[in-house]
Amino acid sequence: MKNRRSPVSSETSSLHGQQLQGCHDCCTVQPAINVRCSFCQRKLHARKRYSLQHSWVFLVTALIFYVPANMLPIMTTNQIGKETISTIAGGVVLLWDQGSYLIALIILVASLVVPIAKFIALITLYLSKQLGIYRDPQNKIIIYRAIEFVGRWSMVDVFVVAFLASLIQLGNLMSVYPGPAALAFAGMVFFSMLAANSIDPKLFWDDDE
Amino acid sequence: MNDQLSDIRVICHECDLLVCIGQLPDGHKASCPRCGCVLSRSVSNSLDRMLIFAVTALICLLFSNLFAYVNLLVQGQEREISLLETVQVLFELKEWALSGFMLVIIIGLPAFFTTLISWLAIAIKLQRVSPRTISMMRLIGYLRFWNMAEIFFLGILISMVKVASLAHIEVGLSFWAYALFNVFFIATLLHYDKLRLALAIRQVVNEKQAIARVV
Repeated sequence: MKNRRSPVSSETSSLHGQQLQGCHDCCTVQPAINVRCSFCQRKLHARKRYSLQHSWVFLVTALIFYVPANMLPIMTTNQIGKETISTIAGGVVLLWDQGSYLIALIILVASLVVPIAKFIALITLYLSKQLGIYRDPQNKIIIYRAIEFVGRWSMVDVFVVAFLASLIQLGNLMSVYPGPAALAFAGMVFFSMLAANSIDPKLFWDDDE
Repeated sequence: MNDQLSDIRVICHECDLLVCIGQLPDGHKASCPRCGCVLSRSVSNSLDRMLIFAVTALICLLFSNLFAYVNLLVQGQEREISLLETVQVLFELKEWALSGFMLVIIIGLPAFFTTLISWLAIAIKLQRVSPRTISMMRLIGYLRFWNMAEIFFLGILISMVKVASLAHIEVGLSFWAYALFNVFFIATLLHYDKLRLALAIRQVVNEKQAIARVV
């Protein structure tokens, strides 16, 4: 893999011939040879170490979690003795049939469209970096920011299930129980957030020079 | 914060470009000229505002735990739950992981986060900071990444619309307190400017060191 711990790019962060790096915590500008920040003593890294490797690992873990999240039931509804088990996709279809189009659309986007788009976008970012095929950093940074922003919102489905399960506990009349897919889905969101967070956007600019 | 950003050199944390920020009038923001990421926003009294918003958010969060959250009415049966009871019910259903997750996300993390921010702002105001205060900012940065309170709120709104077709539903006082908490919490986050806070800490520390040298 190409992502060794690269030296600070010479063009961008140098002043009077001295190479520089920034401290992430106290925002001071430090000479590139410093191992620790001269102000807050934090260890300095010009780039996140093994950023793409870590990100790949988290992404694959998220993908593994995504399988049971879609296969297993996310919610079991018990209404007057009648038990309905629904998966994520089944829930969307059910809501659509009931006429709650807006909610169906929100759940569809948050739990199916966004995760898949995120997986594709992350893989595109990794491959473009590792194979060096697509080098426009401006577009990549837009994709990166979109992934960072949108990641947490997928969690909304888990919150809906958890809240419904705690609210609707009326014995035989109507009860809702969370299914195993809720946890798997939460794990998927968790690991895909970590995957997005492990990417170092500075890498995109490194091959631009 | 009264300190003006004048000729501050920073390295953009997204693209590593060395940027020199000049005088920033209030209401303006400094963006990286290459990648466009926002480096700092200039807001008058941003430290005071952040402190006020954080404390108000904390108070709202406290109130949202005291009263009924949502009232459910189905065929004469009534059910009323509070915010903490949502966690408790999941715990009783033996959904340990889910209930722990909910406890951390909806109450634990927001409470800890707003407390930390208020503490940081007070420490800077009282000039009781040292280079180690920076590690508190690092912790705030980590926690900020995992904050999902507003997503939980959206989840509640969706579930209420879902239930509305099956049962009569009423929101309690705590619901409004939690809504207000979200507003103030987001306001706090918008006023949290890492660069300005770090500069304020550095300024105080440098002044202290200068005094120590004279003495």
